[in-house]
Amino acid sequence: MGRVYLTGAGPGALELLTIKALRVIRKADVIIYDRLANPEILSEAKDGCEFIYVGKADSHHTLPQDEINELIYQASLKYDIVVRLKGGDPLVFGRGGEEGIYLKQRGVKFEFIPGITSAIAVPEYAGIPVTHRGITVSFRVVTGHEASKNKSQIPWENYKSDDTIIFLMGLHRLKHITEKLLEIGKPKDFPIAVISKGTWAEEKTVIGTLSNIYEKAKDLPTPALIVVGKVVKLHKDLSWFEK
Amino acid sequence: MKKMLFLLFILGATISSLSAREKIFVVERENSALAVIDHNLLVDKIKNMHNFNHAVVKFRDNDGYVITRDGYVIKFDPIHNKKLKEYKTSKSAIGFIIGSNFLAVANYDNKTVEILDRDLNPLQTIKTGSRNVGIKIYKNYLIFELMDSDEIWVMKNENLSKAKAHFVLFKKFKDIGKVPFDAMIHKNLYVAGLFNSPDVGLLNLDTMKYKKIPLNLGRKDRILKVPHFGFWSISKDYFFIPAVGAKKVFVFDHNFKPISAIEVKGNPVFTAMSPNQKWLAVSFSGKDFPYVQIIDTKTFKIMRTFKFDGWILHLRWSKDTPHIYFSVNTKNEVLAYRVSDPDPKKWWKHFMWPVRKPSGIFLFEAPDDYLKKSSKVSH
Repeated sequence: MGRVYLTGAGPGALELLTIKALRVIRKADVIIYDRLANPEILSEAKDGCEFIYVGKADSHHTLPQDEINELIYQASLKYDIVVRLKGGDPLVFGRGGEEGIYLKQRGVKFEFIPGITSAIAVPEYAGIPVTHRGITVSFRVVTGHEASKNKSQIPWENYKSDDTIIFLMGLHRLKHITEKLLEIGKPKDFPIAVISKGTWAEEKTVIGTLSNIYEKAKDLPTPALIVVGKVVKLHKDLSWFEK
Repeated sequence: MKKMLFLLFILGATISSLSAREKIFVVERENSALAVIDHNLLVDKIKNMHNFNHAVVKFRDNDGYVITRDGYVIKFDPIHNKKLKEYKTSKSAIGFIIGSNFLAVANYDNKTVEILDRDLNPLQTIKTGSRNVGIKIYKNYLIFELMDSDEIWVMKNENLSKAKAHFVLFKKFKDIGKVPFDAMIHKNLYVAGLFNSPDVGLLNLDTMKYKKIPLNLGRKDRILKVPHFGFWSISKDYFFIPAVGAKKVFVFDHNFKPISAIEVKGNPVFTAMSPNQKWLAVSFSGKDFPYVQIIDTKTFKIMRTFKFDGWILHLRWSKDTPHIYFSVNTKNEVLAYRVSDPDPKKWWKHFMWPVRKPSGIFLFEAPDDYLKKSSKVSH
């Protein structure tokens, strides 16, 4: 039985892949990868390595999670080194926990290899610190793509504080997010940023307020990340990556 | 120093990346959709493509076109994976050809050939009184077969220098053989397939002379039925023809002189020549659907027999990377085997993409400026 490495591929830029992730990718017999993993990483695999794509197409999963779990398990029966490669970090909205439990229940040895999460790296590339002395001392990371659209699991009332809020995968819900934040009492001119294709050469940051960001940013290419908080104002002084 | 090495590695990885010069479009027959594989990722689906049984996808410049079984011609943008327009040409259509400023559609149902501009606006309807097949272009000629009256019509574009094409009848060939059903162009020859006949018709498009040639390898080996020409393969020296019913692939030279009959695993359906013309891949029907054989085109020896977990409905060689793609229909998978090794026994499964009930695989050569952008954006 093989060993499974539930591996984070980072936010996109190749330089943000960890050295440990690179090592297992080079040794892998099979790499099961998703859409957010930079496909150029695959060129580092050895000859004979098999690549299995399990990411989304057209915003729909090509394989349901239980089939992905089983596919990883079957790969562990066939190969010595199985890499499950995910964008970002495997345990930050990556469903790596579900895959780990499935493997554990079947006696498969696995390791998590953390990836640099886009929640921090993407704002950083946009010159927006998620914390900043004198402005905010904490931040929250929230999925902008909830499993159930009818019944929100997000405790919006808790978001009245001055925490920086980072919404991952939320561009298509941008209008809803801004409406909810206005509903709980955030001011209309509260700063918000949308960062499209963060850490990639095509990165683009749009700065606005809760009242105007939807019109300004709704057509940006995905993937995109949303940052809400006073730290957004630091973008004009700290922007370093975008041309 | 370590940092330098790491950066050098990253640079090398970027340059030697697996960047797909081609985009792969796969027909999902049951979903009426085209699955799009780009940069090794299954990135999109183009939906609402009508009846996708035996759908044919073609590309010209940066335009994609589909003809559907229920008579729709669909234009789509293969760069942004978007359906742009559809036009109902008849109740049943099966073939079309793309010219520089027109599309010509061979209709079954309403016994016409219809000419459209590249944006699917109708320009001309040619009434033939027959189901029409085998539509091809040669220079400024449009050539097609009339299935019900055993004719070939050659039309000439009289508006060659103008924006809108317009065709007039140039020459008719009658009694070409019973029930023409398909055709192909090879150099200046229009090769006509005749249903349930071991003969092919040859129309020389420069001299406009027509003759029939029997496809036989002697008394014993005779092709019982000429298969669709899409299933043939052509190398520099030979035609490879799957001999349906004979469990053989027949080899003819370009004058249709018989060269060989290669024994294969089962009833061959589809042959595909590798871009370097070294290998011929053959798929099968019936109980042998899961098999594909690889034939050396010089020695005519079978070099490898693949057995898959499901039915192979289509296969295609990549033009840009050392891969062959397989549609494993009953397993809901499209596979890419790496074929860089000179020994086919060492070819290995490189990629698997989950695609629902895949059939036809079609390749689009994306323009360079798009590729420069997509190499960084397609994650």
